[in-house]
Amino acid sequence: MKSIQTSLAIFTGILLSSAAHAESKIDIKGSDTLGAKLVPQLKNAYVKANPSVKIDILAQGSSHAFSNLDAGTADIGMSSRKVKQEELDKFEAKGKALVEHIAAWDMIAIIVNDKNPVRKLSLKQIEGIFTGSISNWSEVGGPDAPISVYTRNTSSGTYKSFSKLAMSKKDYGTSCQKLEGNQPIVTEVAKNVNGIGYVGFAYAKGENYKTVKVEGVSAKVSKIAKYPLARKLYYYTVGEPTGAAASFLTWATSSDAANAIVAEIGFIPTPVATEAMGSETK
Amino acid sequence: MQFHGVPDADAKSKLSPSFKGKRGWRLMGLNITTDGAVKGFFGGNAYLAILVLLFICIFLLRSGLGFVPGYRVELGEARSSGIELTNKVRYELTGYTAILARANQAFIAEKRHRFGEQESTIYLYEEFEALIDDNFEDAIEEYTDLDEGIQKTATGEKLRKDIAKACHKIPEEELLLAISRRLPDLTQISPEAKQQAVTLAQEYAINDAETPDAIDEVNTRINEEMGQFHAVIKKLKAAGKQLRDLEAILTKHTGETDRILKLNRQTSESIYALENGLKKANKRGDSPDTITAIEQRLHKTKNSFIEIDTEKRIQSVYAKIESHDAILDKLVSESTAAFDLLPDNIQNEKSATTIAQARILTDEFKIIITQQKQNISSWRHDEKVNLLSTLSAYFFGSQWQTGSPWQNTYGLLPLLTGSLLVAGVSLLIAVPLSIGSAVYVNQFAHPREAGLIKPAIEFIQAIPSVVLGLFGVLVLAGLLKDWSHSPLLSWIPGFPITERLNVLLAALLLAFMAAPTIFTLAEDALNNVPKAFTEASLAMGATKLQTAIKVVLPAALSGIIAAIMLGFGRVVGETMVVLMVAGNKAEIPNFSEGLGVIGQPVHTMTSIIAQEYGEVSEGSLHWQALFMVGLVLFTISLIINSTCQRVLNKKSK
Repeated sequence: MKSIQTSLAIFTGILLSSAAHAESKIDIKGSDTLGAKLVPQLKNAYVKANPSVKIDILAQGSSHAFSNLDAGTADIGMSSRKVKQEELDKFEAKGKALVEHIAAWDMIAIIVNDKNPVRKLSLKQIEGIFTGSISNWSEVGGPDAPISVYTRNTSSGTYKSFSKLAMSKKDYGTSCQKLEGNQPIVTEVAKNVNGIGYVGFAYAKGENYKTVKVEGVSAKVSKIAKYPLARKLYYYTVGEPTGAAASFLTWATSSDAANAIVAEIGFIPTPVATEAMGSETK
Repeated sequence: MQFHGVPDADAKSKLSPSFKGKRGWRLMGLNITTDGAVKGFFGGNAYLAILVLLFICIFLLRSGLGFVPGYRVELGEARSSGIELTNKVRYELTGYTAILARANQAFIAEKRHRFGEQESTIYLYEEFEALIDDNFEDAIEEYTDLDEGIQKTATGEKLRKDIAKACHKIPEEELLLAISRRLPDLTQISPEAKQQAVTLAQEYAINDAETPDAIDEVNTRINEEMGQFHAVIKKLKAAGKQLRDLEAILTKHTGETDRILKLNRQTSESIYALENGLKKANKRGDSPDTITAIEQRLHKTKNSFIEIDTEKRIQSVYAKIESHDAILDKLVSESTAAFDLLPDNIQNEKSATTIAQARILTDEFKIIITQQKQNISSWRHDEKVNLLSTLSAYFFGSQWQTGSPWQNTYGLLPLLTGSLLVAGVSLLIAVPLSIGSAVYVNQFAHPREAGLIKPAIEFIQAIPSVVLGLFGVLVLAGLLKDWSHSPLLSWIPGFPITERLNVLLAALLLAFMAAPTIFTLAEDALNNVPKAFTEASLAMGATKLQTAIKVVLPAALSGIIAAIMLGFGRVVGETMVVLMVAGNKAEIPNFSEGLGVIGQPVHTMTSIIAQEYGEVSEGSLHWQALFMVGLVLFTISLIINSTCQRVLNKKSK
């Protein structure tokens, strides 16, 4: 008898909880840069505070954000780029408005060893180094020494964004050494005088290595408006968001707790970036 | 791990006596006695292992073999879109770029040698600029925020003064150290250069962190003074312009065709999937709503095909490539002419050798392009890609390029050579060590000594490979690199090492991991040599050493060979350590350096799977390609193991 009671209780529990879930479920789809780490962690924190909300995340690339928003299979789209005109046209043709929300800022820092005298590189030089056509430091104003190039591996989102931002979408050179994450790159560059690599902003400062200026602009939050390897990451919604999606978005883009998570993962929270932009335009 | 090389003949009779006397076959569970149940349990386990093995084989084959037809389609698309042709032109461009890079390096070396003092201004300025960036950001902001007027002038004056003061504060030795990394010939900083650099740095601050044009001017002036040499570089650069343009046009055009072809293929794949889904839905008798939804999606997908006239597009590729031969001829004649202009009086030794290398490269380039011309003129977009060329593109392909915005290429060769190289070097290290210690422990060591050494060596196996990997990255990599620069060790090939992560480092750690395996198995094999052999040898008056080397070792040879091979299998299959310390550079090692090849980073078959598996979507070509790598690894292990068995069987007969 007791077992029947318990199972009944469990059953109603499941029914109730699933009903509660069905009430506020948010589907978030799109960019891998956002969806790999940042949004899942935001989700965890948010769901902890609001257990009645269920959030599903599917990260397959920015273009999926728009196709899913269009099909109505996503409430929020994540994108590491601005919406393209042709994508926007589709929404406008149906009389829908696409609303943009800035999720965070991303800055990729180029790092070299502390003993390396090179302090600045142009985008063209960076492209040359990472595609393999420049293989000696002397060609970019450094000492006469071969360049050891360290990159993320192909499963990293930064691997692709870097190729887009700094290499005009060219292939990486075959002499690149592909490492597992930001930390291994930092370790190698810090220990190899001839090393160069790129890391997320959170790893830009450390011992025995330094960031170089890109096109004369250093990788500092205050220079975010001018830094060539910086970009905005977006959330998109169809029309102004409502209900659970709205409260999640507001929390994710403006609350202190969310900003702390954004900063911890290595992105720059929007308020910090806008403040820097503000001082830049003054 | 315990392994008995030769099944002991007495072992069977020593089996638990309770099994004795119950002869005949019993299938699992049929016998109700305890003995039968125990037997059944053991038998079941054994069969389970075989089942799992079979299951893995089928899974690997099923997932991997789909790769070949898939890759064939992709290669076919690369051909019909002209991407393949573009790759050929790119290959030529790479060759030319290498020549240009060498010439440029030579130029820079000579320039630094002759005009180092003038060039030092630029580097001094860069040091000062960094100083300003670090310390004067706020002051500069304050200054630029002011409106024009007396106050601004005054603040500007103060800023200039502060900067000059800060610049002069840097100790001379520190400055010289920073600069002499680039200008090794420079022995002291000239006051004029320093003064000029300070002025320029002040200008930088006043102009809101804009690098003054004067820096470029300094460089231009030096270049001009280099005269003829600079003209050579300029001419070389100009010589490649047309080839670069051709490559850019082809890239754009063929890339677009390829993109559309790929999109259409995806569309037809989803149509296929949707049609299947529709059929299933109809069969199941799903609700009409679901079926209409699928039909609508199908209709939408069918409409998303992009019209493309491949024939017309490829014809324009043929038109573009027509000028190819002429462009190459011009490039070669112009660069040869440029090299002839080189001044005879190159002062810097490094510069002279580098420019000589550039010349040799040019000669090689000439040979390559005659072949290339033929290659390109005989290239046809409608030639079918056959199975054989697909397989050879995979097994002999020299490039593994994935996640590429241009074209994914799956060539096994860099990974296979990497794996074999690492495994080979590690065996070279592990075999003498482990066989040596096995012979010592088995033949010479006091029983108490053996009781200490054996467990110690076998304990090494208990170290998790991640821990070894971490030790390699954080400790051994640095030590190895430092040691390699010591003159005492310069006789070792590949020393001094320039890359921290390399074959030798991986091989050392793997040798450490393989040694216990080889040691244990070899020791077992030595143990199995009949006592009579040793006793007979000793009775004949041979010394212990002679007996060990001439009698025991040859008698145990097949067991030792099996031990080595199993060690090899262990090393080839190891993942974590190589992933962490081998450097992961997917390029065929440069064997022209001879044994020095051990100082290079490599990528291996195991680490490519570990590294890229996270990114691929299930069932995609990339996914299948990784399974193919797994299949190759599996085959290698299988061959090694079965050969081992054969070697052992032969001996026991």
